[in-house]
Amino acid sequence: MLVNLRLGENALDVKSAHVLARLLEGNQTLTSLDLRDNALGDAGAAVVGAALRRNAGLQCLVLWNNAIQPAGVAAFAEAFMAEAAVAEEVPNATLQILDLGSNVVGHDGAEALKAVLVRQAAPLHTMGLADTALGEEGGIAIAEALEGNLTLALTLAPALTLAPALALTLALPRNPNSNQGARGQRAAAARRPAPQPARAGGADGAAPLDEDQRGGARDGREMGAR
Amino acid sequence: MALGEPMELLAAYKAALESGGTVACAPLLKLLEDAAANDMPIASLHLKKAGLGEKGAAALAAMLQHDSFLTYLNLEENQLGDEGTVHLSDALRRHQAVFRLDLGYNKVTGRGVKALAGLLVESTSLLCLDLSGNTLWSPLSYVTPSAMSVLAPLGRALASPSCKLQLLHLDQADVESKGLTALVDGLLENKVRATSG
Repeated sequence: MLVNLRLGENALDVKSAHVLARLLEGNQTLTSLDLRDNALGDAGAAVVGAALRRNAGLQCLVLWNNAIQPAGVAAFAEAFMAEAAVAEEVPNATLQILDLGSNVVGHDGAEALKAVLVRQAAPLHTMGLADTALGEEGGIAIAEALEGNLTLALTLAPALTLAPALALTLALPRNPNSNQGARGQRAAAARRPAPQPARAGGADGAAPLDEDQRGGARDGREMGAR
Repeated sequence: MALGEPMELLAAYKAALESGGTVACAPLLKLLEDAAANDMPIASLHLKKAGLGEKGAAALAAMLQHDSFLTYLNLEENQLGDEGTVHLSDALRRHQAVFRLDLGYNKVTGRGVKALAGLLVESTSLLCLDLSGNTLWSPLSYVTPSAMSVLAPLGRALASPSCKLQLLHLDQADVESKGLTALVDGLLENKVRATSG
């Protein structure tokens, strides 16, 4: 059964987003979907987000560089927030890695994401926000969301560094014990002072892709609280 | 002697070159000679941009018949074309160990995809396939249904219960909504069979 699908750089638009939505709603075995460098736009992001409400398998979603604007990010985030209108529609319980890098998240998008993070509406442990024009207010919103969140690592590293995580999802059986350890370490990291707004760095999460994140953020933008 | 002893592989490759009237692919020949000299079986072949071409692929395919050790073949950017892809697909049907096949940027189109789809249904070992950077689209898809798109054979293979594929990379491959529909239809079909069967 297919678990990892990459469709980067294919000019996929909102029409293709509807096709992908059908996949996400009907297939629960796919764990990684990489859609970097397409043209989903706001409408496409909303469609994919809505489909995630009916999906219980996807763990990693890369939406790097998809011409998504703050309104699209907000619409995407809505998917995690909406109250269950139908019985089978529940908040996503599987998505752990989300890369929104190289889109325009801005202040409005950041507020929408903050709402998701504060409510812990998805089990996210890594969110990619590189080059997303957060601005000062957006940065503050994300920093506030981070402050109360014990499990999330933010990364400003480009999408490419998340690629090994996709491979890991395929190769490694999940170890129930490793999560425990990770949570403890993240909690320890969170007890230290919160990162400065607008350049939120990677917290010392012990996620499998930690090494790669550090490698990608070696240009000094990573201002981890350590 | 187990299938795939380094000496035997080298001999098989040389024989294939001779019968095909092909010049050797230098990086591949060196790998085989080193392996034979040290009597170390080769587990993965990294031949990115090695100038294999169609004929080189045919020779490699002939050699694969004599191997049982290889698990990973990286043949990116080798101008394999559909012809070379067909040769390799046929050879790998009988191979029990290759789990990862990278065929990115090789000018693979419809015929190559069809051959690979056949391989996916038959292979008991292949888990990962990279077809990035190939042209998996045809102008015909403007007028034909998704079931006739370039990716349709791949979709049908994914629908098969005997398909073991876990990872599929299609970056930069001109995938459009009809080809994507064919893929998704296949994946959903598999789901249906998995739950009802």
